[in-house]
Amino acid sequence: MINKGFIPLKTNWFDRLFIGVISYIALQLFWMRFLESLISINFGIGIGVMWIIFVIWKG
Amino acid sequence: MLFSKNKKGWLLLSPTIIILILVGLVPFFYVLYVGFFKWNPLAVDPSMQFEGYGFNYRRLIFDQVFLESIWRSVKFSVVTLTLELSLGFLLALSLLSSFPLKSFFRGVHTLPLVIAPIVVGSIFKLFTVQGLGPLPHLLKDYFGYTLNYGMHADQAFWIIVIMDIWHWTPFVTLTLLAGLSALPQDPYESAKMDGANNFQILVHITIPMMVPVLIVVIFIRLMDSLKIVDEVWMLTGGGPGYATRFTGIHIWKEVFEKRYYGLGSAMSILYLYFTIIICWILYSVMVSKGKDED
Repeated sequence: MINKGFIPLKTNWFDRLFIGVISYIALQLFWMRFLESLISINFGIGIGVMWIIFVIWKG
Repeated sequence: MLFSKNKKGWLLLSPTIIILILVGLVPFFYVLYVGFFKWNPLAVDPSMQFEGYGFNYRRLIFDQVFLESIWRSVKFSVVTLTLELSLGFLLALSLLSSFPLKSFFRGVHTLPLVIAPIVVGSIFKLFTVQGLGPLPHLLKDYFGYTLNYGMHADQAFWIIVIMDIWHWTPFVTLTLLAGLSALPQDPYESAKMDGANNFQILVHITIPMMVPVLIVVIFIRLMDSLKIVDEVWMLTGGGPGYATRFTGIHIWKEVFEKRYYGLGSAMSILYLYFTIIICWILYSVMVSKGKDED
């Protein structure tokens, strides 16, 4: 089903999953490089998974 | 539900889908899986060892050599793409008009396309290597310029750029020529009647109408140049130092010389990720620009 949410594109659920995964990886790499010495990566994984669900749901 | 509605169609498609899964998805997910392990099959302990979430990736984002190799590959791709597109477009435009020996020129111009990349590397090596090739002698004798890419990093980079341009500009020319030949003539006639000059016609009619073809050419060449390995491996082997160690060469060296299969897999996945990001950004920019011009 084509949807237009907060992402400025018309997307189906697979597009949103793809965008979610791409941004999840970016978040994980950023976390490992800059934040892991301060906050555990597990928080990053949790936030990333929630972000993917949010993008699929509202994106 | 979708399957039960169109059983015959799915059955006819199934061989293709199975082959795609076997040759595309299975290797991809295997490489993704291996990338999470420390694995050297020729080590004392040849088993795959899990060293924590994203062990190889954590190592890579701090690996200066790997990150520099990505930057080098991107720089190389941008330079070659710009030069090949400009040169290819000019050649395609000139091939639209008629001139003596046009077919001969087109044939000769297309020849590099049919040569295997490894052979292109060998040809350039024989032609340019210090002490053996004719080019360093000619440059030294007539211009006083010393060509020795085994010692000078800049020369090594630019000789590979020249080699890539020589090898792949014909592809750009032929594709753009096909696109130019298929353009409708009505807008040109209207523009000429309105008094537009050749430059205005090029900028306001030819280039906007060529955008779909340009997008295809840019993507094919971008992805090809990002994964360049064989020509570079033959010509410079990634040297001198790290001067021409593009990511493909770097992965090859890590996997086949050091036997770091896990790390090499992680590099491949990360490089694929960066390639997807670059292509995605480029595609968004080009498509939105095309829409603006419409």
